[in-house]
Amino acid sequence: MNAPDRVYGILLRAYPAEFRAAFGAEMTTAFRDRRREMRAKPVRFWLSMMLDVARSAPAMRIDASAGRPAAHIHFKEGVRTMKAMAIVAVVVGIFEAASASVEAWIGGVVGHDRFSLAGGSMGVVAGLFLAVAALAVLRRRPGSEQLLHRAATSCLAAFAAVWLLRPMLSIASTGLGIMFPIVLLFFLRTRRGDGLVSA
Amino acid sequence: MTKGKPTDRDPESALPLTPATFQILMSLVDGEQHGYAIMKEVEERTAGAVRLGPGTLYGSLKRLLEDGLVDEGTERADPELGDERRRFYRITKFGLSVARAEARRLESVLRSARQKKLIGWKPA
Repeated sequence: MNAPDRVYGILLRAYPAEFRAAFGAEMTTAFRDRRREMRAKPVRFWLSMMLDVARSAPAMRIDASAGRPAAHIHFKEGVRTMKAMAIVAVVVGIFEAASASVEAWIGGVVGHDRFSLAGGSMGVVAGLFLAVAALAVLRRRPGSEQLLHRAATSCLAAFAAVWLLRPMLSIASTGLGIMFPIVLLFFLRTRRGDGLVSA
Repeated sequence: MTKGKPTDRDPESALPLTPATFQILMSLVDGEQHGYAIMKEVEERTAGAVRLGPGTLYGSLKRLLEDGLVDEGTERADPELGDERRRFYRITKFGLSVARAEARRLESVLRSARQKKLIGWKPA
């Protein structure tokens, strides 16, 4: 996260937590777009952002204290599903990395097979990438959903390539390494509602 | 605004709209848009007279969603703005009825202002 995003993140705390959960990520995206557009006028940009927060946050606070309903209940459901998916992705990523590292060690280092070393290493990198991206989603890092999307694509490409060129990893590892990214990509593409972070 | 199912409600019960709300609804009349596109459209249409910040925009959108005037559309990237996925919003049937009612109300206000020669009249 860069410094302007961090500052805007602090400004966003002026809004109620429920509002931030529903719209915080989208507001940050709009903030970035506006900042790009007003790059030549930073003082005017920051003044307008502070004024915007000062004008809108109190109204949202009053709404929250008056008990207006949450904007979208399914936003919360989306967050829960995304969180569950990210946790599974961490577990799968670690399993894939561990499984591939064993294969790389036994086949590549001990067995002196270059393909096992290369294929196993690819599996390790892909598995770790998936786990790290999913952890970033759980920690609500900006851009982490895009990162998870890329990690799932990389994982799918790596395990499919190894499987097609020379099936050397276990059936469980290969099946999980191919099937889970497909499920994850489908989920990321089709889900509605909010993620933990969408930007 | 009177609560109830949007279809059961009289659009007049939602009036008057705040300027920001009416501008947002007008931006959505031609099709679904994401937040920043709404901000840009409002700014361009009003020649910079109305500039919605993210807080004002999403605060208004939250209320429009709660009141059934706006609905969530698809979530996808805008090719002009990169590969970031954005949530698109669309106006509902009820939202369109409310926007029409507000436009009629404003038209009537303008007519009165003309009759009083507040606008459309040049002093000699």
